[in-house]
Amino acid sequence: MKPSNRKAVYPILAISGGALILTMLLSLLLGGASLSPAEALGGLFGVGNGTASVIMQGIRLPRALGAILAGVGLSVAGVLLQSVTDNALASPNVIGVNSGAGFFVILLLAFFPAASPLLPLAAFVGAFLTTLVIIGTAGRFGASRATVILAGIALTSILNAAISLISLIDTDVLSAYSYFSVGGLSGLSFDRLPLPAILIVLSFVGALTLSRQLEALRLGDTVACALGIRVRPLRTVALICASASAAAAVSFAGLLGFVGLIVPHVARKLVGGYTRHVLIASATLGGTLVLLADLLGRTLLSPTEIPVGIIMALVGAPFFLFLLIRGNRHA
Amino acid sequence: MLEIKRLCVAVGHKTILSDLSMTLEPNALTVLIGKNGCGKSTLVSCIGGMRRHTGALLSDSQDLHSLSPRKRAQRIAILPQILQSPHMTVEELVRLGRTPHLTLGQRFGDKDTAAVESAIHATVLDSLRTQYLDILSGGERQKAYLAMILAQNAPLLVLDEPTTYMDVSVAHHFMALLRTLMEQQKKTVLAVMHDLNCALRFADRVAVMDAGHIAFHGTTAEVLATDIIERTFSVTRHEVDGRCFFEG
Repeated sequence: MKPSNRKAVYPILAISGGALILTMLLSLLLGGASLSPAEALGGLFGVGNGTASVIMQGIRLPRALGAILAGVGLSVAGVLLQSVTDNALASPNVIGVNSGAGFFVILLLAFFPAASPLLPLAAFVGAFLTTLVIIGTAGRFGASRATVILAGIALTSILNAAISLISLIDTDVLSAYSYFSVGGLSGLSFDRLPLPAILIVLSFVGALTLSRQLEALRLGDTVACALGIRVRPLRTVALICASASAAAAVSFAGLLGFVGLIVPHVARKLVGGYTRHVLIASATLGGTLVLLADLLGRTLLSPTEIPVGIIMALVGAPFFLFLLIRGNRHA
Repeated sequence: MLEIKRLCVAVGHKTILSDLSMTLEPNALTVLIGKNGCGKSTLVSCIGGMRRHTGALLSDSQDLHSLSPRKRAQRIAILPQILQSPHMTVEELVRLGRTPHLTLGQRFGDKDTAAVESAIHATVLDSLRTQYLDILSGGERQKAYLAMILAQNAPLLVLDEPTTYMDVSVAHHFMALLRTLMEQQKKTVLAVMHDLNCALRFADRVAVMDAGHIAFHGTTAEVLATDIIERTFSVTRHEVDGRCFFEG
């Protein structure tokens, strides 16, 4: 028998799932090139108009899937980080995902510009290695919530300083780095998605499997320990899932900020604090949000494209403030 | 039954627990009393496997150290002194008491649901089951956590200062409830308490702790037949209508 208050959550989860599907359809149907629904459907399955096939299979579909994956990956990472650190301000930035990815990308651009096709790999390796260093450093000092955040802040500061230094010395890399640093899905192709997709899906499934233990962590380390939970290993595994998921998203979408911090908060306002529900709601909302931001970025000033990261910051942040103000008024 | 044998804990050069030995009487409420800093909470941490120590902790002759955290939690339910108030309903909290009985990814079964319902009913929390912890009073929240450890269905309950944030009447009500549940469900209870009068009123047995070891352990009548409480706490005993109470 499920708790009585959980039944009220299922319609909300269903609606958020429906919103994701609807946004996906809109994302496939709308764009700079005008296609009828029939042309779009035909192009999706490689039937009929060759141009439609190129647009649908080569541009819109990989872009839509990439947007969903990025939204899911960053949102789930945000939920995991906020759970294990018990800090509502925790996000993939805090554990060095963005700074690690940025540092390795700018290193590649500055010293190995001919290897720029390896940029996604550099971003992933940089993000993941940095978070492993933070986890390892925090682990030496007890892996408590505070030490993880403090280690993350320290290493992020060092890497950001290094990024600024390289930009100062080699100003040519700035223009190449700036699109990555803002975050966007332009030019995304299918071949860049399989490995990130596997990592993001595995992290999401891992997070759902650990959701009961993470729920107990909300009672504090002492009570969680008393309930038989191995708190330190749980925290470490959750952090690794979060870093893999976020690093995978950053590898093809760039430094998309805001998603990992804000989406879990919006999810909690809609479905309450139960970790499993927050994970599912965050995944669907995150995917929807990034899809919508990408769609707006492609169509608002078409043919000029506004990167997803800018749309997220311009539209998403004020919307979140609106939710906060409305929430405080009701309180 | 819990046997504690020559437990020692030191932090740096400071000895917290010194050669502490005690055997808990089964199906009885044992209250552990002692001055601030004598090591009561440290003892609770050791029982919960949260503190390194030397010596042995035996549950039904089995070394607790050899058990996995999950198996240990199936035998001993611990309620620490400081309790969080997350945005979580009473029912969701009580359900977490089943965590030691569920493996990773395992779904809630009928047995788990029955244990949760029984715990909520036993603590008279039916009307509060959908209320959030962060809006409950201190006494209601403590009862919710008591329901959680009851759902855990462990034979031994260890509570660290469960009545700290309660006024006199709420504290007495809570201890009366604890006694009733202990008798009905045949539990063994160890409660660390500061309130001497409340402790002596509800305890079957009293363990007096001083400077990291057990200075006296016996029935309430046996401890009152000595002056150990007066000496340990520097308090004065008064007797009214055949009942003792202590005053600082």
